[in-house]
Amino acid sequence: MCHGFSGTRSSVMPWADGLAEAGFDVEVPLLPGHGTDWRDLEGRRWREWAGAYEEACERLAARTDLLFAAGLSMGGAIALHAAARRPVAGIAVVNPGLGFYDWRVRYIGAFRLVQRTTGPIEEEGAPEPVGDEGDYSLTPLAAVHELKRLFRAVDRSLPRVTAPLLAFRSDADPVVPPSSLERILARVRSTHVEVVRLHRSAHVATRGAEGPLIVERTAAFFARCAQDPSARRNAIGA
Amino acid sequence: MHAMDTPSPSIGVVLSHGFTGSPTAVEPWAEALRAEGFTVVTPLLPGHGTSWEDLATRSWHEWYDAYEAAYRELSRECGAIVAAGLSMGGTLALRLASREPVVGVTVVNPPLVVDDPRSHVSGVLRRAVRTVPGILNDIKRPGQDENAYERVPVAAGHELKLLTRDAAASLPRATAPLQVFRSTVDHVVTSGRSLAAIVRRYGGTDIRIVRLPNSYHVATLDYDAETIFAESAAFIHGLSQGAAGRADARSGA
Repeated sequence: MCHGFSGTRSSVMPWADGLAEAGFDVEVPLLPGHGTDWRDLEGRRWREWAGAYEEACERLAARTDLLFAAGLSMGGAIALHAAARRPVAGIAVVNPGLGFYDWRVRYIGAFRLVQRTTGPIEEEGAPEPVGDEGDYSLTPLAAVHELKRLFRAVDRSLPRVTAPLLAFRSDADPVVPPSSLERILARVRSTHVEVVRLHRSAHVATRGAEGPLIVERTAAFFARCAQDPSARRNAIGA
Repeated sequence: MHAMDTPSPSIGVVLSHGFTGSPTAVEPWAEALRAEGFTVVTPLLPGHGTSWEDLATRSWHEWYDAYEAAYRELSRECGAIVAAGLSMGGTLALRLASREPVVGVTVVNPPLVVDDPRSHVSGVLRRAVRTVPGILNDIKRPGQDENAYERVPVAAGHELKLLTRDAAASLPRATAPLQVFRSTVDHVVTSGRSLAAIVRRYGGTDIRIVRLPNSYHVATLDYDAETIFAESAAFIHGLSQGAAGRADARSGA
């Protein structure tokens, strides 16, 4: 299960804990540059984030029968990227992002050379951070540039995604535009896609009022995937 | 396993054909659902099954009224109704779901946005051009015939456009679990915009999308028809268990 950009594991912990209670073996890798300080995030490349997630996949695959990929926001994009590159039995994403609302991102390549940081990635009404998530009061533009590169790489890989996909989408998400999910749905080759609309959640829906719904639906979806014989073939790369 | 459950209400399915088509396209689907124990009606929409000249005089309200009338009549004998349809029949199903209580919606390649660029000027075009070539038999499997009109009256195409606009605007009011079958190649509903409109605007919580990799628009007569029959039956059975899919997970098979 992958957390989002400049976020940490606490954003997805209720989801992870819920699935663990349902009997799944869950790993929530802390992505490089996260959980410490924004200066640490600054030098990171998108392949380090994708790589950390894929290493967690390898570890889990070695000790379980079926592997599922999950993620929130950018973590959703990283989960999809992994699912394009290795067999998984199913994928669950919450408000997956392939782009931003902010128009300035288009020029991020140039901006980052003149401006080092921008404000924190934040939305009104976001849940309070749990524990010490590190200092991300500023967002390095170099990291935003890497994020954009990640989105492009994930977009290119989507046609190789074939596992069943469950996508949760908040009606009112001020961070990720609806076009991201639409693009994902248009480009993946999964035979089965389920979309669960969240009418009472913001971007970090995993920590909102519908967090338990996300857990319940994910567990039920993964259970159905596990029972489907073609999913098993998918999962072992047959 | 379910010996102590209260019996599920009898489920009726209103299943409509598409624009310029006929029930021929949906009869095999109806038969498959009947074999699963559901009561299925396949209304013949006004202006269809007669002639394109007849269709040219009809408004989309007449098509919707016929779909709704079938719903009302079926409601007298069945405790729960599923709205279903192929193509424009699916659009009618979605519109019904935004206005009447249904337990679920299952549709194949429904238009919520008209992709044909001529539709932008249909209001004017219909006065100048009477008909355009038909959209019938977009089917990959050879030897199939959906029994539809060879010509499409532009006036009726204009009505279809108005219907899709109204249905798209109504989507937020529909809340029942929804299943959409979508052919990866469709020469009638050509773009992803209709599916995107559904995903963006549907008022319900659950939307299941099943891709049909080996069919064109009239998928109910095409290579993936059996997938439609089996998966829609499973979907409807799941509805009667209270919540789609949840019973599967809990029973821990």
